[in-house]
Amino acid sequence: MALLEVNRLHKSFGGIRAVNDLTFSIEQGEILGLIGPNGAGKTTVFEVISGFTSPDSGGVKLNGHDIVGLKPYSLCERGICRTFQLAKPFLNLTVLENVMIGILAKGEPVKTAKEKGNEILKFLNLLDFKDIQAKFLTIGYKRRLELAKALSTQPKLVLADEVMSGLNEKEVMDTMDILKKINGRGITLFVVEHILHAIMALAERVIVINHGAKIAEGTPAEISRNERVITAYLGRGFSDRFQDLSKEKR
Amino acid sequence: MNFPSKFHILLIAGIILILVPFFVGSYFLHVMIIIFFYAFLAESWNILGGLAGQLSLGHGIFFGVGAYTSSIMFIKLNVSPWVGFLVGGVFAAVLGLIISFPVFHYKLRGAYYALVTLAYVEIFEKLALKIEYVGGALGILIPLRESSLLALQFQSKKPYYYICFALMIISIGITHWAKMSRFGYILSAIKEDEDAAEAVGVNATKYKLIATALSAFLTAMGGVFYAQYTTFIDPKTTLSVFVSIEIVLRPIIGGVGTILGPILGSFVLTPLSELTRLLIGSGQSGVHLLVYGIILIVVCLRAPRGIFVEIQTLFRKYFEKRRGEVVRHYGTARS
Amino acid sequence: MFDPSLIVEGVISGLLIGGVYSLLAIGLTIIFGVLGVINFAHGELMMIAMYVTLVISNSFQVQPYFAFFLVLPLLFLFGVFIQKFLIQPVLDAPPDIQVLITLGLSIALQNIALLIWGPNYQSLQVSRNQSVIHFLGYVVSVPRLLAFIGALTVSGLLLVFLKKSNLGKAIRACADNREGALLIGIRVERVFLVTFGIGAACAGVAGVFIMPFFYTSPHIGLTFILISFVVAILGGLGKIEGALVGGLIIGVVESLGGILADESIKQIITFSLFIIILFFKPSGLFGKKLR
Repeated sequence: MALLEVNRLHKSFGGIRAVNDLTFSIEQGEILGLIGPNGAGKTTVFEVISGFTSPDSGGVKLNGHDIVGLKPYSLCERGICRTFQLAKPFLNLTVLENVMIGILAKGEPVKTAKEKGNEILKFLNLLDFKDIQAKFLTIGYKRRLELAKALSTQPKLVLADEVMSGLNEKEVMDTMDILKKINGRGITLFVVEHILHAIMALAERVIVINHGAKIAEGTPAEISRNERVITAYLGRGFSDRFQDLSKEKR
Repeated sequence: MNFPSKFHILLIAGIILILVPFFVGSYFLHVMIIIFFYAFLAESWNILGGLAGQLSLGHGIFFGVGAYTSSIMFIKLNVSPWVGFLVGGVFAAVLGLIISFPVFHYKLRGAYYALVTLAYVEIFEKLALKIEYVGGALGILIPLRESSLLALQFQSKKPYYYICFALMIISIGITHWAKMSRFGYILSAIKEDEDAAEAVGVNATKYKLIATALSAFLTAMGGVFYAQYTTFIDPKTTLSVFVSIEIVLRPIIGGVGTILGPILGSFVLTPLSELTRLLIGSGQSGVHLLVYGIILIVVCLRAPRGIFVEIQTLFRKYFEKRRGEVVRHYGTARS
Repeated sequence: MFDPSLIVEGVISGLLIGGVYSLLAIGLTIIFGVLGVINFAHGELMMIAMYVTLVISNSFQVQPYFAFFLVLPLLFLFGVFIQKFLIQPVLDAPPDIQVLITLGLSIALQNIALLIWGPNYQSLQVSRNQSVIHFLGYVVSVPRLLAFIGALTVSGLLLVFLKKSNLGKAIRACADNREGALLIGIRVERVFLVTFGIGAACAGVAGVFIMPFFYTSPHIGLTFILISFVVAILGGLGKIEGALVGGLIIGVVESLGGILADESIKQIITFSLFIIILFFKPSGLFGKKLR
């Protein structure tokens, strides 16, 4: 059985179809990528799965249990945690405190939360900044803190919303390593990303959506050869670059 | 330790305050009582307004519910105000839960939250004016019984002084506990960003409701004390937006979300109102509120984190500078 | 039961005062639309205008409507002053600070009025215009009719100004997209000054028109601030046309409430309505569904 099953999901905002009849599943332990042009509905998919928006119709099942209509915090208790496209750390709290909140929300006492928080920061190489207020972090570290916060909730599935956008090449490489490390702990990852070469290198499977509907699904290699994806979604100008990427991958 | 610790300062201040009633007259005691009283209310508000970041303008409701509940019980059922503290507090807490649940459920935040609480307090004031059972617009005059601890009525001001002092200390203790506990950490996350808090598993509505109930309970206790101390209550002076404003001003000017800021706020603002009352004479003139309004504006412009934080920063800078000089002195000596 | 003509007269009288509410709320909503600030001192601006009207009318024994020519520029300048020295410095601060600074202003203005004019309710001394006209057999009060016409005229002129003039277009551009407006060379800060001025002037003019058949007191602003919030939110905060319609609706609701019950029940109804709207339709009657 798949970890998460999304079945015929629909969501519109004032006449605009953000998600249109979308069906897919996420397998336990994999890294699944979600790509699509701006406004394709990627973030909406995340918001529906994580409970921040309710769908107009369709089902979402976690381990076979229906989770539509559950609030974000109770989904979090069940093991689904999202990060925000615009990183949302608790700006006036320290880095350690940021990570403690998710642990405290599970009912742990403050002392335990500090210990576990420190472990997570160490795991993500953030320990040097633990007593710094989150507002003083650079954007790269803010995004890494987002991942640390997600880890603090002991998730089964992390929805990572563009955790690499706005980062430089080195930071992108670091983030990819971190995501692999997180995945190595048995945590399933569902990643929305704009930086295509990153997601192509990272994901085992990729879903492509446009106007809220799925237009392709497959391994990165298959996707990069898919005519429909190249022309309809990326536009002809990009197709050459795309070919290069798939060569690089090989 | 390079500078006197906060604990020592507070200990000395506490001892002085305990000894004060033996050396001063009854007017000065009265001023001290209302300073403690407003400090207690400010700290009570601070749990919801400061720690959880919900700008409530509705605390007049909780204050009024406390005052009315205990007074009516006292007059009609001859129940001691000490029981009134508990019953009034519970009533206010339950009412707070009932009226706040939909507000939190429908995610009314920031200015919207302030607006709804403002509308609530207006509605409750108008209701109190209409209900004859609670005295309507005329209010309730609390009859004087013989001076006794049970009736919370005394000839001397000293017992009031110590009761109010104890209330203030209790509120500081509760806030200190709340801030250091799991509860406080979670409230601070909600204050920072509610969506982000929910994303890491925080049931924001639940925690805001707990903060509301706690804050309402304590505020109602303030109302009970007020009724017994002044022996007169009516909707305008105990259950109105004006009461809310008096409660809100001190923690905001003193330092929202800090433990001692609201207390400092009361120690600064409350004597000012007494001073203007002495200089200008009439209690109705509103001069003190004019001054408060101006101070609020200046604080928003110049010290939005409150004067407590500003003073703390100055204090720290001063001692750091002194320490810096000492180090430099040693440095030159050694070289 | 009730006399049906009483209901119709209630509706008419509600519509008429509703025009004044519309103008007041337009002031609030334009400030919110452009600056994103909810002005808690809006009712006090109206209160100040009411006192100015009172003073002019009483000391020169003239019709209160003459005060229009002083109140309009006075409140405009006061609004500019508020924006320049109070709001502008905290525009980037957390929203709570903006709420608090306007709250501080409202407390200060209330108590200045209390100091100058005392705590009592006051109304005009000039012989009150009690005249009525008969319209299709119903009685219509002339001062209310004048207030309605005046308020709607000013609102209409304001709408034309916003749609046609360059400055008006700049204001709408800033409401739409502040950064975008800045990028195409609009002097945003100056637009903000004008906007707050206009918002304050709306409250002022509403105060002039309502004074001939109303009374004022230092705390009267509290009543009006809540009414203008109800209207603005009903119409969708930031939407001028919405506030226009919302004012008329609230005027009628309140007036009918006044027929069925007394003054304080009427206010309880209005404020309860306000809370219910915020719960179920926070973007207003004409707004898109919020996510």
